[in-house]
Amino acid sequence: MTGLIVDRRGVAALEFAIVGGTFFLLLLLVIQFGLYYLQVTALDLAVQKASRQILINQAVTQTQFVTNIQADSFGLLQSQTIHVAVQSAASFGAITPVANIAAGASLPYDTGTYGSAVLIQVGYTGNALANLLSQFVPGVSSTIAFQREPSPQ
Amino acid sequence: MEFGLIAPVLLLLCFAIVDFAAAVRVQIGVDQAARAVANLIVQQSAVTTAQLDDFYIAGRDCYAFNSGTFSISAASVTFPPAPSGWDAADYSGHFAPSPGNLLTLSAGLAASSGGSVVGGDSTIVVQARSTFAIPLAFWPIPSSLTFTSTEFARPRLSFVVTAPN
Repeated sequence: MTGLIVDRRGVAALEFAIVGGTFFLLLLLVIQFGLYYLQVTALDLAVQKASRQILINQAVTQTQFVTNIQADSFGLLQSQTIHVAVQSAASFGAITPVANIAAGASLPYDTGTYGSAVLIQVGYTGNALANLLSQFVPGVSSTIAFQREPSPQ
Repeated sequence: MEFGLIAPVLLLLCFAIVDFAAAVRVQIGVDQAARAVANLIVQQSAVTTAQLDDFYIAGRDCYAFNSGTFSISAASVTFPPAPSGWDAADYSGHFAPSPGNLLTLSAGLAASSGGSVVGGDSTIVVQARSTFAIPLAFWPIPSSLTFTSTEFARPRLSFVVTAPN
C-alpha cells in the first residue's frame, strides 16, 4: 500500500485524463455552440421566407409550411423536429402565444384572412446543446408577427 | 497542481460559451421584435393608440422570452424641405413601458440623410430594448446585459403615418 502511494508513475496520464476530459467537453461545447448559432440563424431566415407566402395571402398547408422551412435551412434542420404554430385574429391582443412550442402536440394552424394579425411560432427540438442545457440556453425557435396584406379592392 | 490552475479557466470558458449562446438568442429576439413593430406601423396610413398598444404585444411575442425586461419606442420622422431639418413625431409615450423617446436618435438620422429624401417623406424608427439576466453569471461574466435594436422603415401606404392625438 505504501508503495502505491509513493509510486509516481502514471501521474501524467492521470492528469491528462482529468484535464483532457474537461478540455474535450469545452471543445464539444464550442462545436455545439457553433451548430446552435447556425441553426438559430437558419431557422430565422427560413421562417421569414416561408412566412411571406402567408403574408401575401397564398394558401399554404401546415405540411407545406414545414417543408418550405426545411428546404430553406441549408440542410441544418430536420423536418420531423420542426414544430409550427400559426394563429390569427383581428388583433395581436386576441392571440395567446403557445407556451411550449417544442412540445409539438396539437399545435394551432390558422393563417387567417386579408388584414388579419398573424403570429407564427416555430420551434426546433433537434439541437443537443439546447436540449441538454435547457435551463440555461433558450431553445432554437423563431417567432414572427405580421399583418396580412389587405383585400385587393 | 496543473489541474488546479487550468480547471477554473476551462470551466469559465464553458460557462461563457453557454452564456454567449443565450445572449445571441436574446439579441436575435430583440431584433425580431423591433423589425415586426416597424413593419406593422408602416403598413398603416394612420395609427391609433390602441393599434400601437397592439403592435407592442406583437413585438413582445416576437421577443419570446419570459425573463428580463422588454420595452419598445417608436417615432415617425418627417423630412421637410431644407434647411428646417427633420420633424419628429414621437409615438414612444403610447408604449408601456418605453425606454424613452427617440428624438435624439431622430436628430442623428437627420444629420446622416444627406438631403436625398424628398420633402414630406417620413421614416419610421423603432427601438426595442431588453435587459437580460445572464444564466451562469459570476466574475468576470456580468450578471445582466442590455440588448438594443433599432429598425428603420418607410411607410408603404402614404408618405407619413399619422400619429395618434
